[in-house]
Amino acid sequence: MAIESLDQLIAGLSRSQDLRIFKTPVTATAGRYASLWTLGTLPAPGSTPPAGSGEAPTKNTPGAFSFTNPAPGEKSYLGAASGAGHLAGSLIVLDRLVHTSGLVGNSAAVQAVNTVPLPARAPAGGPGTIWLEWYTSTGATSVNASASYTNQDGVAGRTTPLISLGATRRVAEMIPLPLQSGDSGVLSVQSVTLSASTGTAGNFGVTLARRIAEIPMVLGNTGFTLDALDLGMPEIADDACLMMAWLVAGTATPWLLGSMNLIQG
Amino acid sequence: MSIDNLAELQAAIERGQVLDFSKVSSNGSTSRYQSYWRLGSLPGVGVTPPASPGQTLDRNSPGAFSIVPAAPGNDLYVAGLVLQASSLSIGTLVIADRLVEVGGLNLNLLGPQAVNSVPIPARAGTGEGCGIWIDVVVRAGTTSTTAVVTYTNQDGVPGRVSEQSLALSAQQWPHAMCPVPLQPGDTGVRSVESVELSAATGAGTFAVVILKRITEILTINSVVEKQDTDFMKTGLAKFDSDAALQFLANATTTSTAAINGRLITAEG
Repeated sequence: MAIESLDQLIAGLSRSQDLRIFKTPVTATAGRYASLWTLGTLPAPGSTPPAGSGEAPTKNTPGAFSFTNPAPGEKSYLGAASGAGHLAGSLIVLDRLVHTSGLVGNSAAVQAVNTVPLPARAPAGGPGTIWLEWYTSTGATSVNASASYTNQDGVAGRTTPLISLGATRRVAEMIPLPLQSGDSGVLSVQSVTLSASTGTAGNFGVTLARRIAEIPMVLGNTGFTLDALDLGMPEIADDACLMMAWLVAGTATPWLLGSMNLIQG
Repeated sequence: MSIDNLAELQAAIERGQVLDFSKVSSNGSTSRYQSYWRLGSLPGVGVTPPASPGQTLDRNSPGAFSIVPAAPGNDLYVAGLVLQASSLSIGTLVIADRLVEVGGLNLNLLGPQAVNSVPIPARAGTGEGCGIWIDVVVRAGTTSTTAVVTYTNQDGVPGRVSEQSLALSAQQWPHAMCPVPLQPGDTGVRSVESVELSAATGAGTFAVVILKRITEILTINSVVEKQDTDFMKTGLAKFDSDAALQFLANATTTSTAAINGRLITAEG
């Protein structure tokens, strides 16, 4: 079943689950993404993922929004979102499918990752982006990064184009790696390689995530109010590990308060 | 109960209420929330929060919207908002249920200050979803400060310690409200035991407030013309019949706008 009518949407809204948001700021860099995964307080801060192959987090993993799966035959959707913050930027809502850590910034060697298999809720062919996510800052030397992965058709040994990391990737930063031309999805990541040492080991990892929604906040000290149509009523998979990231416009992420309505039908 | 289709929603809005409001502007600080609770004129002005143990608030409290309780088995929802603001100085209007307030706290005092608040009222249940806010009553002094609060969480565990609040600016004006992040892992609060400032500001008094946010509505267009917000945008946010509804706004400049309009509810 699915929500296929205004009546069903209204029914869903009146029974919605309130996913509350309260995130405190972190220093960040304009034009970069910042992960809100490890920040407090609602949802509670998540932990640094396991090193190596990582794990496939779910809605029960600390850091994820907590919600109740729908009744059999029903689906979950994002029905509305509202909030306020003191800095401009864009809120990105993601389903965190697989995450790893333990990659270091002071090595130009091929660093093995070999991510665990995607969970069943992952989109067919896998998500369309590989994210690198920082848990401890790496060094000030600007380097390039690339990843070797298996694409949506199961073809191994695909390589992302080189992406510059810029100077000093801070804790909580995220950077998307575009896929090799022609590819549309990632089933697993085998390795990550830096072009040189950044000067500091730090700690970063691979995050495979499915984009759910993008919510702009174009002016500081304003907010956002979006309904189901604004959001495109994206479907939320059962057991989704919902997280947020922020596309930074200034020098930090905002004090962010708000909520998202999870509707089911 | 719930609302299952458009026809029921229409009926629910007919059963609901149209709550007129008109609030004056106040001085404020950019990047801070400003409360309209103790501002006139409709709803009326809330009282100065009493000292420890404070008081619980409900729909009959001065300052609260006068709500007609829903019939047994029905719920109340925010179905719409019509708003006009006098300036662009409010970016978002927050609608909240003001549950508990404890005043008489000193903005010029270091060290733990006893709060020992009354517990949250029954409508707040376990305290899940409730948050702690610092509410400036008398203007602060020239030193900025933050607050850390010791409280009992949604599971009834006392002695939980919050993270540092959003900072109070130097000479923070009255009606400013700063949210206090709970201890990581907590999702609510039942009562507040004490509060401690990071610095004595030099003057002023404040209250600790336990608040449950209901929804936020982007209001940036409300200066150009009356802004109509419908049920899709409010998400049919639910609130209790006994709620002490209040508005907060996040300030884009050094004052908040005068606002007037109508809060539209649905009952079903």
